[in-house]
Amino acid sequence: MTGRERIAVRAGAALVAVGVAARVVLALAHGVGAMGDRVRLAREVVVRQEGLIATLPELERRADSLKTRVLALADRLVPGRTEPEAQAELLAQVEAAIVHAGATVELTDAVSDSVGFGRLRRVTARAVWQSDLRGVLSLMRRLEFGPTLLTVEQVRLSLSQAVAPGQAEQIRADVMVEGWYLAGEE
Amino acid sequence: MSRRPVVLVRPNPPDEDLTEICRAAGAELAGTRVKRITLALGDGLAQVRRISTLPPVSQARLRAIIGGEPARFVRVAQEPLTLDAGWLPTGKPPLALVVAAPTLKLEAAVEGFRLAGVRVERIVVEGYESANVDLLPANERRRRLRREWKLAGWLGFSAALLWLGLAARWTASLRIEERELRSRLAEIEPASGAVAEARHQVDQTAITIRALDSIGGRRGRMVIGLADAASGLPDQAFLTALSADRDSIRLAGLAVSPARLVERLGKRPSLERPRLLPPVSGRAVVGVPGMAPFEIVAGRGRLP
Repeated sequence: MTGRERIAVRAGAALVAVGVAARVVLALAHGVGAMGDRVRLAREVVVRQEGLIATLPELERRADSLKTRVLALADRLVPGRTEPEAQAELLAQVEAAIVHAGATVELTDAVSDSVGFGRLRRVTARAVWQSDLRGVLSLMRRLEFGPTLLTVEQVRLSLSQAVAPGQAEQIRADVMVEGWYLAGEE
Repeated sequence: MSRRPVVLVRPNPPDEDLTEICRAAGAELAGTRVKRITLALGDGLAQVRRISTLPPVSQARLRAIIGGEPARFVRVAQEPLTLDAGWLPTGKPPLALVVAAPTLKLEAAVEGFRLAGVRVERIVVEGYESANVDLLPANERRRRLRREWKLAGWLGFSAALLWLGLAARWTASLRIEERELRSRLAEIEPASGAVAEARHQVDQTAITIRALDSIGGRRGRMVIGLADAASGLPDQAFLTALSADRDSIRLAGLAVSPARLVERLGKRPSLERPRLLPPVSGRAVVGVPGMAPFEIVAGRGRLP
């Protein structure tokens, strides 16, 4: 082997060695960098969680205070912890109001409803009855301003029969009544 | 410039054994911490020429010019010479300095110092120590180059080793910290769960309260709205049907002037932009002379 060949072989070997070393060093640096990122992230999570934990007593106090407010409002909701219970209660209240107003009940029926905000869920009932105009308005007022928080959302009034002059009109009222109940803890 | 000590060698008589002189000079340095020196050649050991007629080229080019035809610049004898050239720091026109010395003598001097344990790093000529010339023989230059490469290799290896050591130490500290953080996270997990649960409770309850407030605000809107709309009807108008939902209200019946009725209803706060729906018939209805059927639709207005 001549001197020139020896130099070429040595240079080639050195190049391969440098390449391998660079590859190993890069892999190591990448691994160390990834570990550094993990540790930094974990550090941030711990700091954030500890900050949140420090607010726990305040959060619990706030939750208790809000719960007390909700319980105070619960009397105005339709009794019942489940949808069937609340629907039954709503229908009973609507029927009682119609009967109390001296109107003729034609139909009361539960309408399926899925609206809710948190634990607050809506129940809807459809009621059809016949009465004169004063009776209709009085009954709707009784429903909307009664002790339970109910709202009349849809109304259809129509004359149920032809009216002779001087005779009281008979009106068929078809209304949708909405009430709210507090669902039990899931 | 190097701060290396300069040792001047001036043999007397000129043919005195240079190796022996240099070994003795090196031995005098034995008590000191000096291990590397610059050797300055005294009178008679080197040829020195100052030339002002050379073109102002780089030092490498100057060396090539001198090395190409040494006989033009120095006396060339049978014995091999070591030459070097450089520009003197001052002088206008530029002044080239050409120095030459017998290679065997230079090697003998270097060998003498080596025997005394002192290394010659550079050889200059007395009186021109500041000039950028070096008469170190070629084999010594090669040896010096090898030494420098070796030093650079060791420095590189040491730096790599140091880097690896630091990286290993840092990695170990990261591992320890990661373990500690994981353990801390596991420790605070129940408390974090309690926080999440409390936040959920607060959010849900706040939503419930907001919804109840909003529903309470809507309460009675239908009854009050219908009563307000009914109060807008004149005595000469009759309603036969009414339907209302959250957004609109529709009235149907008989009136003497439906257009006037619309105008009148438009003034009620419970109704927004009432309008007659087609078809509007001007025919009189049997039994109610002079009255026309109407159907009016309006938006739900904002009640105070």
